[in-house]
Amino acid sequence: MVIRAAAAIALLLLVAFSSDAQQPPRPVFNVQAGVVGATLPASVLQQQSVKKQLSSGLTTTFLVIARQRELSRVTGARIEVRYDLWDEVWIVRRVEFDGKTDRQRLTSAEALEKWWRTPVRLLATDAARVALQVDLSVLPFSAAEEEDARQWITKSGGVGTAAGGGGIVDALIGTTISAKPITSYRWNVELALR
Amino acid sequence: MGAVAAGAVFVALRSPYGAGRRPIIVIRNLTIVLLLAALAAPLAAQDAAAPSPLLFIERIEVRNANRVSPDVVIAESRLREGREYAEAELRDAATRLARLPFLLSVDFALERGSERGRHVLILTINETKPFFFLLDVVPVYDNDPLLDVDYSNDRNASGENLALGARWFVGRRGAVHLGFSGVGHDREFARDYASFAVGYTQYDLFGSRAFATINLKRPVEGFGEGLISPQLVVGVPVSANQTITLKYDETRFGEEKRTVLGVDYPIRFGQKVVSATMAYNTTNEPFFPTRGTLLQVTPMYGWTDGARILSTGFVSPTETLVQHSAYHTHFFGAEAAATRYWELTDRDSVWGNLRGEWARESYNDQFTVTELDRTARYGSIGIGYSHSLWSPEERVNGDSRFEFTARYSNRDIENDPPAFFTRDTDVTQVGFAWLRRSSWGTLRLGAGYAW
Repeated sequence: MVIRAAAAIALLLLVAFSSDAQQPPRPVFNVQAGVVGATLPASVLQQQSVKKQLSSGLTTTFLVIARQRELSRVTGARIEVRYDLWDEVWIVRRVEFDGKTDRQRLTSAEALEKWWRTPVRLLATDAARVALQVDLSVLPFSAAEEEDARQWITKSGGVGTAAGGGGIVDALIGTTISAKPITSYRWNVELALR
Repeated sequence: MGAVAAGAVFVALRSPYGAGRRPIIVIRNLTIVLLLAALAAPLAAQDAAAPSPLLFIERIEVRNANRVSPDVVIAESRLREGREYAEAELRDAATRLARLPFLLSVDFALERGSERGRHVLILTINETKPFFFLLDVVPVYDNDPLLDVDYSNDRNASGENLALGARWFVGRRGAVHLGFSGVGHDREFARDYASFAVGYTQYDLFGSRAFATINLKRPVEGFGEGLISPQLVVGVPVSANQTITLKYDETRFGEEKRTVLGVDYPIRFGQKVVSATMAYNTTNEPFFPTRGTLLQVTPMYGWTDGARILSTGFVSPTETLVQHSAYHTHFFGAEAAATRYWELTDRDSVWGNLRGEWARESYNDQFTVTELDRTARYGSIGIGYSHSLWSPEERVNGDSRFEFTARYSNRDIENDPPAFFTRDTDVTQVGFAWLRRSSWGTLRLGAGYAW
């Protein structure tokens, strides 16, 4: 009886550890001229709940927030993907940390996956090392409230008017929308830039 | 205590509070600015038009509806067939549906319509059971028997601590319900009474997306035998997130006799309260939200009538003086609450809440020379943290969370003319609870300590 109980506990521990050991997919980080980019894992797109949302005909928003742990500095990027049911194309947009925007109409899932593998630029730094906490939230619907928000922020003291200050508004507005995240990921990484 | 009583649970259980676009913008933007200030990040204006155009919704189809009426789901979404919607409007509709107590989750998706550019909106719902319960039991211990413990942290949106019942959809836009509800809102000059209730809700009233609920309640605690008491609630959604709820609530008790020295004195009590709640709600759950904002303002007016023995005294060994009188009170006041929920991660959420109430009551009986006025003021601030034991994927079937709360409140009463009894109390309290929502109902069990 005791042996059976011990075996059951051992089995449970094994299951628990094996599920713990199942690490979430990790992005690949790269550094180019002081700019940190991340290639998000393609397996994110394959996750069942994400796949379901991607095929819904509605926008799926991927919000990437990068926190520099020593500096409490936050930057981010946003990716939006929508499948147009009538044109049968993927309409995608990527807004990076500095506001650089890339829009595409992709004609196949393979093209989407290829575009997805393009590194997302998250921050620029002149530090020799950065410790980052990167959060990816997958949200249903688009972050469409940003225009109102930006106007208000602009009026409320000009913080939103300076060019080149980083597209944190665009990146972060997504966090204010009330849509429930479909899933989210968190990665911690330390990068040597020199 | 509020005069929302038994019927309120059925209304509040489905009650959509809501929000209009312009006031929302201010609040939303304030939130954004606070977030950005906290992040201390540089900001820039960007050209970032959303890639999503307006979507023409030719038809709305509700799938997986076994008990819930598809027409009610569509009506509660406030979406209409044959119109164009931005995704933001669909998102607001999704959030609004997520607050319905008879749905655990809703998925939105599009399918091609009958011709190019037209879409069918598919709402795939996950229903709750027709029987429901709401049990919110967090006893608060204290070291002072006179301490006026504040139960605001029992913060489910209905304001109820206990409800048991069942709901059946009838016809295309109706639902009948019956059940029992415990004491709810904690107001100064009106109160709830635990009651049995049976009622009917008509959704999409006159095609307007408004709803009306009529309840017949029978109080089971209070002044004696409860009599059938009506309650009428009309909710008018102004936008996906903004609702005005008008309520008339009556509580009646049968006459009882009290005998003093062989003489029978009639004892009676009845209460009527009229209120209007303006609510702005972007929260994601009907009972224990983790995200969004809930603002509520409720002006109210009420009156009570009754008869009671005011005092009994021995004038002499052979003579007893009994003061018995009919009495009347009327009161008016307003309560307001603002709660903001933030999701820190997909499992962790914090909230902050401010509550305030002001009310004035006038009392007279045949012995009072002038009306006695009492003014009550209440204010509190509460904070909380909760952690879900379930992943976001698992939460389509409910939730299981631990919660920690803290609240400071102050309550005082002034009498005019000045009287012996006044009150001015400060209470601080902390508590923890386990929250569980499933297709069967909602449970909140825990304990607290106040000082």
